[in-house]
Amino acid sequence: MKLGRLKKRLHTQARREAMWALVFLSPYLIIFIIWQIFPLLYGLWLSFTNLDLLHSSDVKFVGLSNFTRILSDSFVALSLKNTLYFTAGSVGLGIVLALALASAMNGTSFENRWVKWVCFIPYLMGASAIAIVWKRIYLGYSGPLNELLMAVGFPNIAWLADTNSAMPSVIIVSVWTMLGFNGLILLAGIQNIPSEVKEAAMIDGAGPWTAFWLITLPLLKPILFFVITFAFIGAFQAFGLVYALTTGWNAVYGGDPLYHTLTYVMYLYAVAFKNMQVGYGAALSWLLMAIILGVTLIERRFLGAEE
Amino acid sequence: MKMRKLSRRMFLRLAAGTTAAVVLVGCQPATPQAAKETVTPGKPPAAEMLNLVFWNGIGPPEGILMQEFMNRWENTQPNVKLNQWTTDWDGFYTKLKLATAQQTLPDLAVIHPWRIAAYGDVAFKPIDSLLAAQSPITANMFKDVPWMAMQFKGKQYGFPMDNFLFALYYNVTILQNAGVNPPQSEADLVESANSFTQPPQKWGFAHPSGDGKGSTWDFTAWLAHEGQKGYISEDGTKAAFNNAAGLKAAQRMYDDEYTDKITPDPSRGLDSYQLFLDNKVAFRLGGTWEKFAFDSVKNLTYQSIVFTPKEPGTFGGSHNFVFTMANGDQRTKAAWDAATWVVLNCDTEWGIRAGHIPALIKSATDPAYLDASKNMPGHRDSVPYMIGLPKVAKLDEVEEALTSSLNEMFLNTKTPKQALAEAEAKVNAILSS
Repeated sequence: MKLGRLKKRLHTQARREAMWALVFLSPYLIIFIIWQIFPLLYGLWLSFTNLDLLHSSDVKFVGLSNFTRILSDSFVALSLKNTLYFTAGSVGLGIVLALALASAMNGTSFENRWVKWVCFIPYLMGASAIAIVWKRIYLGYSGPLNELLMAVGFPNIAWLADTNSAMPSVIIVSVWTMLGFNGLILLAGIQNIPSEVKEAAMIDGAGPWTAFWLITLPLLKPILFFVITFAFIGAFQAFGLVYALTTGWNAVYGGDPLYHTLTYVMYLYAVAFKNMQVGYGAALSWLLMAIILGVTLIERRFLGAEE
Repeated sequence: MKMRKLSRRMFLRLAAGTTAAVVLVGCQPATPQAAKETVTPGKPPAAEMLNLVFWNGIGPPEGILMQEFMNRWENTQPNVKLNQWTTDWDGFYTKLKLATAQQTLPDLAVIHPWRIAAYGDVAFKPIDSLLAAQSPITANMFKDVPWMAMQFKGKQYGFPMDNFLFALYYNVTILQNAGVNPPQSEADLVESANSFTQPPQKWGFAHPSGDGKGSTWDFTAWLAHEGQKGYISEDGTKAAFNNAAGLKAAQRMYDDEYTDKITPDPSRGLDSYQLFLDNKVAFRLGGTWEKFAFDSVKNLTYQSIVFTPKEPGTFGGSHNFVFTMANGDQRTKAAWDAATWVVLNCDTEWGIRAGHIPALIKSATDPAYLDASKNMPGHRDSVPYMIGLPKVAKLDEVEEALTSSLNEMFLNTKTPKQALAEAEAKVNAILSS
């Protein structure tokens, strides 16, 4: 009898606590549902319609025709190709350089603290400001980069206007922007590795490179997974920086020169907000989500954090 | 003194009460502040003024001149406050689309004639009622070509300020030094351009786009040169460029780069517009708006002729005033007053300073304008031969589809025939969707 009363009392108390927890979580839950779940579901609905904002009264349910349109849309293929190129370049090069930077910063001297601050500044700058600065650096005839190249005997390069160099030039700017941020996260990961492990490796005769490759890198796997995933998602959704760097005054889709820097999100933006075809734009955004989710799951399979 | 211990239950109640209070206070409607009264000297208080909104997509430098004209009109109106927004065409049309969707349109705007297919009746209204109501302007004050360009499905949707178009610029110094006369035909042009070409720095011919991309303006000019009026059928339902005229036009553009090699490779980023300014290009198919830049270069002597006199045909358009008419009679009347005043009082000056060809007959024949444009007779004489972009609602999509295929041709990844066939399929799919 006493046990039953105790159980009932505990059950009532647990329910009360759960209710209070819900009360305190409710502001966030309401905001989450309104600003995250509802737009997601509404976007899914829109992707099955032909909504054109200029003729919104003519909206109709069109089933999967937006998704079948994606299959024959040459701009989708082109922009995906450009996005993959940009992602592979900026993530690949970015992670390698960030690892190198983190390894170099792994110390506690006064100089290292200043290096950390300086490296982080680009991450704090807005995309438009970065684009203005780098467009000036990349200027064809009078930019400082070309002046330096010509001073040492190299020819002038149309960095952002030549189809061969435009995307690599954009990748360099993207890597420069994220280097400090990625480097600091990896530095935190390196500094969390117990020094005894590295010391034991040294005692066993491992050189610095072997220790890095066989000790540091495997132990850095969870942090690397986070950094690579974060970088991949950011690169695949690249818009602001690329748009500001490459789009001319009279462009609709942008991606100059000759669409060589047109990314998927730039095309999605043009479809939804310039052509006002919101239904088709919603379908494109769901495809983007599916791609990012798929790649993240594959990445987790190979690099995912161990429990 | 013994401090009273705060129990968990009390803490939770206090926290819940505080959160509720914050939410309630935050959700209260804001107390309207008294509007700060702005007083402009010589004008009545803000509350009594008529606020007129004008959007202008003609970016700098000519756009600043248009702003100046509108300010002059505003100074003649004691009861009007003019709100002007001047930007580039891409930003302008993006914002115009959003404003159309939300019906928050300006009272007055400037648009290109081919845009009326997307905005006619959805955003801007026919002007017949305004023309009939003792208007200071009438149709016969304007040249035929720009006036009729604003007609769509039998209605007049606005009136023009000017014409802008391509003609063939040539560098007078280069031709004089070579003892060569300006070309009279396409064959002459190619032969002359060949003689001047010494890559990588000197070129015979420059296409209209600085980066040489396959712009539809360029293609439309070459199509007109072949005698075809535009690249979409007259009823606006299908592509009309995958034919003999289209192939000749595309082949010419391709041959300039790859066969005759008289124009720089666009994919290498050589800016042929800059090269013309630097006296390194003999001929350039260019627009009236380039006069501004050309006149600012000290050692550049240029002249324009019809493209080409024996086979005239070119691309052209106009800047046109359009009216919302959804914001009440008073604002519509003020917008009409502003636009007609600017055209009647500033059209000649617009031609002189902006380089475009005035739309009013009296301005286009004004001696001051003729003197200021004496080195651009080709542009003035080409007005009867100009063809604009097609008037279709999905013009942006159609343009990008055609441009992407023409770019493949410029990159030599497709032949002209393949590029046109691919573009035709894409454009027809867009027009039929």
